[in-house]
Amino acid sequence: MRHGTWELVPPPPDCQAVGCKWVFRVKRHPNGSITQFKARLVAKGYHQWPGLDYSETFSPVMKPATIRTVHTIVVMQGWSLWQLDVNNAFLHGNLHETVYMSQPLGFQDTTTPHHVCRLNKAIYVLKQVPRA
Amino acid sequence: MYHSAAVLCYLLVYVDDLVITGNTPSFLTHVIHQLGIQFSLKYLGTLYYFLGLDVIPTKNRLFLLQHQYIQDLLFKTNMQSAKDVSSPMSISVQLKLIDGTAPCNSTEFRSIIGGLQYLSLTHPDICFAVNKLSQFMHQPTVTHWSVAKRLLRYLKKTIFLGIHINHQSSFDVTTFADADWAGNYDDRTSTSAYITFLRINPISWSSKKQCAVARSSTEAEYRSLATATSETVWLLSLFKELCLPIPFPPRLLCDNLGATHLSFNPVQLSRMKHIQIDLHFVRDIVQRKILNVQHVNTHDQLADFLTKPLSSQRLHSLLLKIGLADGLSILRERIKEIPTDSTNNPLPPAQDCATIIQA
Repeated sequence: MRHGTWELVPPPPDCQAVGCKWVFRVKRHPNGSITQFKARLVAKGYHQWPGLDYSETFSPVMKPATIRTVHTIVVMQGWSLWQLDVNNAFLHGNLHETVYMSQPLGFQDTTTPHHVCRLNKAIYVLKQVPRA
Repeated sequence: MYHSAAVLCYLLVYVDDLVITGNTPSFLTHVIHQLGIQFSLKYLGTLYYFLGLDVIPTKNRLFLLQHQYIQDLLFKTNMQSAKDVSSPMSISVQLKLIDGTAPCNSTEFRSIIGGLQYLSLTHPDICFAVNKLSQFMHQPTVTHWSVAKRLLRYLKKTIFLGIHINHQSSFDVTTFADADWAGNYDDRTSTSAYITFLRINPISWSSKKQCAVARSSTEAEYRSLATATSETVWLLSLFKELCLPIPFPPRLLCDNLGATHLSFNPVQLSRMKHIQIDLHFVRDIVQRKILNVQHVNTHDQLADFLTKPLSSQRLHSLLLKIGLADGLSILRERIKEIPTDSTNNPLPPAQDCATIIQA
């Protein structure tokens, strides 16, 4: 909500809301002590219909040959390689299709319990997410 | 990819993992800074681990290996304490789909083969064996299972094997194309394979079962030549995109004289009528001087190990030639180097660059 991921709207008459659930994970250090608790809200992607909720699911990634080629060029030219990591990469993607999701368990709005969330950003397990 | 007069910058993106490189460090820090404004980024410093790939810099060179990934795979399959073997596949074994032995757990088999396929990132040596085993994924038997186990035992022995990328000044491209005629016992199709080098560094390879039956070895070789041609043409377009000048047309080496001659002589042979598409495709590329097809002695054929199981002696001499090296000594040297590094440069590289970005 804070990231502008969705907004609450009254359900449109022909709306098929996608379900969602919380997935909890405990991250541990190699020695077994707990690092952090992670909670992640995932959509039930299998509720989605092709053509209606998503159109393209292809996501562009590189070929292994490209990785090796670039590494070879780097060695030949004597450049340096740096690495970056995007935090919560999937939540950065904007959705092109309109997708409605039911309100997450435990976080329903008490004044408007029947409203659905219209997603602005991609969330995990939606079919089109790796593309966004 | 960004390119202007003197500045060249590559950005590799794999979903949320990014690798950035280029010829102007100040421009790179600028790009990282700009990206940091758009997305919340974590800067991880010099590349050392990317998609299960360990990247170890040595003197002027780079060593790529997947030992962590192999270790996880061996742990998953409970093979950490298995006995070593020195070749991925026995020469004598003839794999068939139905061989009279009992079927085995196909889910576990598929999961292991899937894990092995990802290893082809740095392990061309197991490429043939993995491809062969993948052909039985739908109906594995006890025999296939034992071959898969042998492959894991080979991996245990060669856990530190990886690609050593050498510093070279010129960028010429060579592709070796080879085929094993009628090597599949179920349907008598052939196996085509190629391996491409940028100077002496291997960058692309494949081993694949052909989709049609070849009636002569020339035909099988010619099909593999066509596959190798299309890959090399794709690589040429990649080099062009990366602004890498290739001084002269890539060489395509094939150990079959008949196939070599067919690629540039405009003769019509009655035996080759049915592979006209491949025939004309390669000829067209050769005529336009995009590629050069040449003959190579079978003994110097470096793609040999991608078409059939070889003896461990022959395999290791080939692996040395294609630039694979055992990384154990490299890793040991690296461990020795680390203390001297840290005394010269008290800041770890990650923080070093973070301060540059903030400044």
